[in-house]
Amino acid sequence: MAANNRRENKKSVFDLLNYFYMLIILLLTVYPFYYCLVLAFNEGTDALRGGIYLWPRKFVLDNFSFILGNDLLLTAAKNSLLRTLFGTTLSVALNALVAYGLSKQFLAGRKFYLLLFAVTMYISGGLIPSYIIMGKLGLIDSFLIYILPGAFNFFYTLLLMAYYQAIPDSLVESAEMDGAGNYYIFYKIILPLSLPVIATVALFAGVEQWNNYLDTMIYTKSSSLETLQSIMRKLINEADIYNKMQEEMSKHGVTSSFQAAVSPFTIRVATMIVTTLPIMFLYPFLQRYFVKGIMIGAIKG
Amino acid sequence: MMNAKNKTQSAFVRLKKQMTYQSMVWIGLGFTLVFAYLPMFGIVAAFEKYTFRKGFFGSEWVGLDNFARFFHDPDLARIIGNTISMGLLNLLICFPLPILFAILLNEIRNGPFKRIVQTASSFPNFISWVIVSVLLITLLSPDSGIVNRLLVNFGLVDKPILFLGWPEYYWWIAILSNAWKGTGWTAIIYLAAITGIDRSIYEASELDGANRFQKAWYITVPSIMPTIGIMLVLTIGGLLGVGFDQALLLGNTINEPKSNVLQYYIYQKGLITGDFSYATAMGLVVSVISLGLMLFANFVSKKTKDVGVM
Repeated sequence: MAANNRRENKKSVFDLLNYFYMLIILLLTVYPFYYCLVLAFNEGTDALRGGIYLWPRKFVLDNFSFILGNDLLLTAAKNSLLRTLFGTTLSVALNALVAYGLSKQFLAGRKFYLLLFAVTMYISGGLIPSYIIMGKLGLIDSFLIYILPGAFNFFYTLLLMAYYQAIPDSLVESAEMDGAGNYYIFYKIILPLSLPVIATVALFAGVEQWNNYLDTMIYTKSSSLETLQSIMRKLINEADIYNKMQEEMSKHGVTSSFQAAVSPFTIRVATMIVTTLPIMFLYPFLQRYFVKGIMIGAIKG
Repeated sequence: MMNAKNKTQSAFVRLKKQMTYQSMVWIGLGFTLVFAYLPMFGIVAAFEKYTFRKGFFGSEWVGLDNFARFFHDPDLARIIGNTISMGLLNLLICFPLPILFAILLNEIRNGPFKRIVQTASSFPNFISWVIVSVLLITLLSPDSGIVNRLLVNFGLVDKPILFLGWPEYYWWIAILSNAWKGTGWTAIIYLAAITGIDRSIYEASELDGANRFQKAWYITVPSIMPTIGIMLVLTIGGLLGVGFDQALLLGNTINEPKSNVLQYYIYQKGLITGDFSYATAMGLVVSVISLGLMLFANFVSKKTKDVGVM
C-alpha cells in the first residue's frame, strides 16, 4: 500500500513538471508573436525605448495604415497572393495528373518514369547552374519564375499516387464503358474523389509559395515583382527600403502625418504580423491535412 | 504464327489504349527535364571558365582547375569549419529534441491541452525564415528587446548584449532558432508513430510493474526506432545545408567569421561576385558529399535497424 502510494506520488510530481514544461513551450512559441503584435500597435519612436511587454504604451494604428496605404507593399501583397494562387493551382493540377497516370500499374515504362522522377529528389543541379539555365530560358525577372520551376514536385506526386492506387478500378471501368475519355474521367470522377489529398498537397504547395523569399532575391530585380517576404527581408538587411517606402508615401503627400508615429522598427513588425496572419488563422483548422500529408509521406518513405 | 501476330497487335492496341495515361506522365516529364535535368547538365560549368557570353559550349574547358582553387582559398577552411560545427550542433540538439518532446507530450492526458500545445508548437514550421528572423531581431534588440531587458533587470548582465553583433553567440542563435522552428512539427511525426504502438504491450508491462520511465525507454523508444532512423538519415543528409537561411538573414559583417557557411558562400561567390565556375564547383562537391553522407547513414541504418529511406 505504502509503495503504491509512493508511486502515485511520483507520478503526480512528474505530471506537474511535465505540464509546467509544456506551458513553457507554449509560452516560447506564442509569446514572440504576441510581443511583436503589441509593438506593431505602438507608436514607432516610443517603441524603440523598450519596456513594452503586454500592452501597447502609446496605442496607434498608424503602422498598419502606413503599410496598408503603401503602394510598394500593396504590390508585394498582390504578388504574394497571385503566386500562391497560380503556383498552387498549377502544382496541384500537374502533380495530380502525373500521379494519376503513374497510378496505373500497367503503364508501359512506369518503373523507368518513377526512377527518373525519384532521382530529382536526391540530386539537383545546384544554385548556380539553375540560375544560368533560368537565364537561358528567359525566366529571370519574370513572374513565371515563381510559378514554373517549382510546379512539379515528386513528393506531392507520391502523396497523390498513394491515394489514387487505393481507388477501385471498377469505378473507372464503368465510366470507360460509357465511352468517357481518360482526361474526362480524371476531371469528373478522380479529382472530386481525391479532395482530401488534394487539400493536403494544396496546403503544402501554398505555404511553400507564400513563404518563398529566395527566388525573388535570386531571380528578380524589378520592384514590381517584390513579395511580402522579400520586402520583409529588405526591411531586415537593407536600410534604404524604408526610405523608398516613405518616398512612396510622400508622393501621396501623407508622410508628415506619420513622422513620429512610425519607425522602421515598428513597420517591420507590422509587416511581419500582416504576412503571418493568413497562416496563423488557417493553420489550427487545417493542421490535420498537413499531418495527413506527412503520414502518407512517412509510410511511403 | 497467328498467335504471335495477335500478341504484337494486342500490345500495340494496349499502348494505344494507354496513350492518354502516357501523355499525363509526359507533361510531368517535360517539367522535370527542363527544371531538374537541364540544371544538372549545367554542372559542366564547374569544369569550364564559364562566361555568360560564351555559354556552356563556347566557354574554355579547364578540367579540374576550379577544384584546385579550393586549396588556395583563404576563407574556405574557416567556412567549412562553421558548416560542420553548425551541422553537428544541429544533429546533437535539433535531432533528439523532437523525440523527447513527443514522448513527454504523449504523457499529457488532458486532450484539449495536448492539442493546443501540439498546434502551437508545430506552427513555426509553417512560417518563413524571414519571419523567424524578424521575431529574433525584435526579441534580441539591444535597445528595446525583451531578452536584454530581462537579463539586465535580473542583474545577469551589466549592459545589453548585442547578440547578433557577437560572433560567439551566433552558432547558438542559429541552432536554437532551428530548434524553435522545427521541433514541434517533427514531434508530430514521432507522436503519430507512438500512437501506432500496440496498447497491449504497455498493458503487459504494467502487469510486470513497469513505471512510466521504463515503459518509455523499453517500449516507446524501440517501437519508434524506424521513424527515428529515417529522421536521422535525413538530418545527416542535410548536415551541410544547416545555417544557410540564417546566414542570409541574420548574417552581418561583424558575425561573418562565424555565420558564413558553405551554401551561403556559394551564393556569395556565384551571384554576388559572379564567379560562376568556382561556385558551381563548390556546389557540386557539397552535393556529392551530402548525398554520400545520406547513403552512408542509410546503409548503416539498414544494416543495424533494417530501416532506411531508399
